[in-house]
Amino acid sequence: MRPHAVWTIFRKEITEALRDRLTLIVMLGLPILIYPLVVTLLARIQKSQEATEDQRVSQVAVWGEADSLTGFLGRTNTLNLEMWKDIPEELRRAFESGEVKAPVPAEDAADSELWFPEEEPGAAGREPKDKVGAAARSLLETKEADAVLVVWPGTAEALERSELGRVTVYYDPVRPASEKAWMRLREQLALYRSELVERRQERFNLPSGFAKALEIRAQSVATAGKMFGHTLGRLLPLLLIMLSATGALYAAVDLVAGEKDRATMQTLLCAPVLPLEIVAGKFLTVWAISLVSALANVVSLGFTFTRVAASINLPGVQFGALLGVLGSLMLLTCTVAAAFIGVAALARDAKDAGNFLSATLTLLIVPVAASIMPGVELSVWTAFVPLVNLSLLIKSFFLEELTLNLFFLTTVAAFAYAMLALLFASRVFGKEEILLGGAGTVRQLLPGQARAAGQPTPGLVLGLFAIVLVTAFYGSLLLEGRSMLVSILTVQYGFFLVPVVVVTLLKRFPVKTTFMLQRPDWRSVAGSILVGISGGTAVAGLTLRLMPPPDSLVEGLREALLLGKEPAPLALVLLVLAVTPALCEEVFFRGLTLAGLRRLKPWLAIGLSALLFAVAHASIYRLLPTLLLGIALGYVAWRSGSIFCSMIVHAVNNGLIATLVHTNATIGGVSIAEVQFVPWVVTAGALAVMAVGLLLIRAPKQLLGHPATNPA
Amino acid sequence: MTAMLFAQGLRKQFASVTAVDGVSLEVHADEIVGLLGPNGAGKTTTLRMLTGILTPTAGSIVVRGLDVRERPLETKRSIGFLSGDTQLYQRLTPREVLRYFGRLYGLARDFLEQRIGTLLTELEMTSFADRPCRTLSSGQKQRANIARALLHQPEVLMLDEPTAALDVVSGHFIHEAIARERAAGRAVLFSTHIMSEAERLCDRIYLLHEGRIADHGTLTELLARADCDNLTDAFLNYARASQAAASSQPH
Repeated sequence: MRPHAVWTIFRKEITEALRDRLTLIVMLGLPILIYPLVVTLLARIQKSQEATEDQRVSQVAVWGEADSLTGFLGRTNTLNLEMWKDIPEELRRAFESGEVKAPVPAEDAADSELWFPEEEPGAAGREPKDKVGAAARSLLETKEADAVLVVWPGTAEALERSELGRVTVYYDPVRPASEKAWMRLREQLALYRSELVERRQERFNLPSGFAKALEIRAQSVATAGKMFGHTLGRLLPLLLIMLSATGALYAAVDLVAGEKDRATMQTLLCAPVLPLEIVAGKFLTVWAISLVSALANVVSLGFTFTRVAASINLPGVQFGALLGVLGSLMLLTCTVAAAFIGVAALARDAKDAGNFLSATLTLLIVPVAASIMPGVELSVWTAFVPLVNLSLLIKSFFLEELTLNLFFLTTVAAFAYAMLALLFASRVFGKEEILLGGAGTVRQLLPGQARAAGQPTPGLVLGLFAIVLVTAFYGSLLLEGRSMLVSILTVQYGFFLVPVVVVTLLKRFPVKTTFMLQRPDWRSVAGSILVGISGGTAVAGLTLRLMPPPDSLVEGLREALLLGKEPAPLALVLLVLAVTPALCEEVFFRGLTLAGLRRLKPWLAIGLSALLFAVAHASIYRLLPTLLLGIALGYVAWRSGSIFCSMIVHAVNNGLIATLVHTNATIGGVSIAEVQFVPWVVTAGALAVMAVGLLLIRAPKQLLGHPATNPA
Repeated sequence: MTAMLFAQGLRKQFASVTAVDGVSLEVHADEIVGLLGPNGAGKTTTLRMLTGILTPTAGSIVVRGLDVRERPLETKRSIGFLSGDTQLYQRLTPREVLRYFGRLYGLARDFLEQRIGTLLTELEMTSFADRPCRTLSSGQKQRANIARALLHQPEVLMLDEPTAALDVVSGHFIHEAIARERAAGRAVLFSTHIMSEAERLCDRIYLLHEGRIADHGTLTELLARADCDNLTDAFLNYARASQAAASSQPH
């Protein structure tokens, strides 16, 4: 792929896209307008509603008599009591004759200060079945009263006798005026009850607090910002994701299906450009449009909550949170743009593409919508669910609750899905029949007939890595209850070795050249042993100071190195932790992966395979050490032309660490497990030994399939 | 004389349909070769294979001595392609379209601007060179398309029904442009279903019927073999003969 061709296509596409008014409106206009408009409008409507309700006197129909109570309530100027207002005649007679009975309170309501049947669990929304409730509902529906206060027969007498009186307030929570009336009544009834209890205590010479016995108060510890973040976090990810994705949708239809419609695709394919360069140029354009849209969303959101929200007494949003949201949207839009490009190319024309992409957007949005449900939070389980993880990451930024490792896992997973989406798009663009106007089928996208003696491609190994990463991650979570031995063996053989074997057999890759099965000379073996002995110490000495791992990770690693809480026999430890990864991980990373990346420059292939190796260890604290080790392993394999050399380094490195921990070795009188940092002098020594080891490894004279001699 | 374009045994299979079956042809410099056939004969599929847009199921294509499959980018630099149904980028101007393709063909900036200027003058496009393509007439769009196909000075020109949907005046303009390119030493392969157009322009003609070459030769040779006065009658004779042969085959 040539960058200048990609750049030329990108520049032309972006020029054309920016001349389209609809793209500009979707990309910039909507995000800039929507947040200030929505927030300001909602806030103002709510404020004006509150102000109107505050000024208005609540109309309360009182059914039943208890003079002391109604007298108390009548003292406030916010309630206007109307005795027996609009009560059906028959019901009034039943009240006066005492036929009407108060409902029996639920058992768990006995201890509450006030018993309000509507507030009990299960009662909300239930239609009143009794005649009183039905009549109250009819009255409230006419809006002649905001609430109905029912004083049940016998209440006046009960209050006189210092017994239990019963009242019920009927109200309509959907109507603000009725809700306001209920709040006012609740406040006044609580005051009345308090006064009543005080009077009774005095009357019976009981100490103050006798009836109350225990005062219970709940105090929320959430800051105003956190509460606001909670509301934002639940609603905004959906809005942000939808608006950013909508920008990509329209651009993808125009750039891909539109080009088919205008038959300009075949002109482009006649030019000396590769389909991969076309897809890259178009993807970058759709991504850029989507990103600008995301940026406009975040800027508008930031402005709204720093300027507009402040003016109406809402807390602002942290700048760091906005940056995090933008980062999350970058990854999300990358995945969405690639998926959209691929799906749009499958369509026969622009109309088809519009339908396909609307359906795709719905499919993407549904899980994102599920992530706004309360209780759905970012965890090790949700960190690998596509798009949901990014939606939850955005939510975490607003809630100001995010651990470094969860952030890392989510980012890694998002990269993996973005990579898969890009591979999908490039696969669609590789199908000439689809590009030339035909509608694509899923069958066309499935892997075709294996070509004999083919070589793995970067697309294949990156796609395989993304799939293995996700399955291995969930697989290891499912294995959490199992023993350490079972977990490690399942992950190593099941998730690393088996996929490589299956893909190699299916694609009929030549085993010897793909996996560099070349017998190394003695110098390379000696060099590999030296690198294996020194590599771990050198890397630890360089990296542990930069990012010290948390105690939980150190303890987890120690347990893994002993194969459980109690140490397993050393021979078994070495077999599982030294020999097994040296076989399975080397075959995966220095075998198939490095072979797939061979057509890139050597340093890029080694660096990329090392990055994948590091990411596969699924911890941000292990990222740098495993990256450096991965580079060393890749270099050793590439330089020697033999996978056996990197296997030796891996086995010796892991075996040495496992043995030291197993034998509880000490450095300077401190147990190896408790050493925080490797002393500089030890680090320098290890680096020197490592350098000698690397120098000893020599390039093969002529090896079939060796990257240095056969770069293609 | 070495062929600028040489194809041998081209076949293209789409699922169960064989669109092109065993087509072989060659085009030399200084000649216009016609690829004639009715709709669905396989002209467009053949041209798409020759330009490298479609990969043949079988057969080989060599452009200026280079195999299209082995050296796709180099061979594409030697080919100029124009199709009758090709539109332009609606929100770009013809000048911007030419700049875009010039960059894709890797032309140096100064040379590109000079070449664009020459083509705009030669093809009488200066009056609409800076107007968005969506505002142009069909004839103006096709001139811009010709300019795009000639921009990188290709040795081989492939034209797929370039006058389809054009009026007489615009069609004549295109014919003149094609004749000029032959005079400039280019090899031109020209597909059409308009027989009179082929009679007027082509030095040699390949008759394509149901994905196969039915006959080829100069106009005089074809007419003599078919014992007809014009290409339309000659082609109809081939079509009838082919149908008769097909119906006599045992099922």
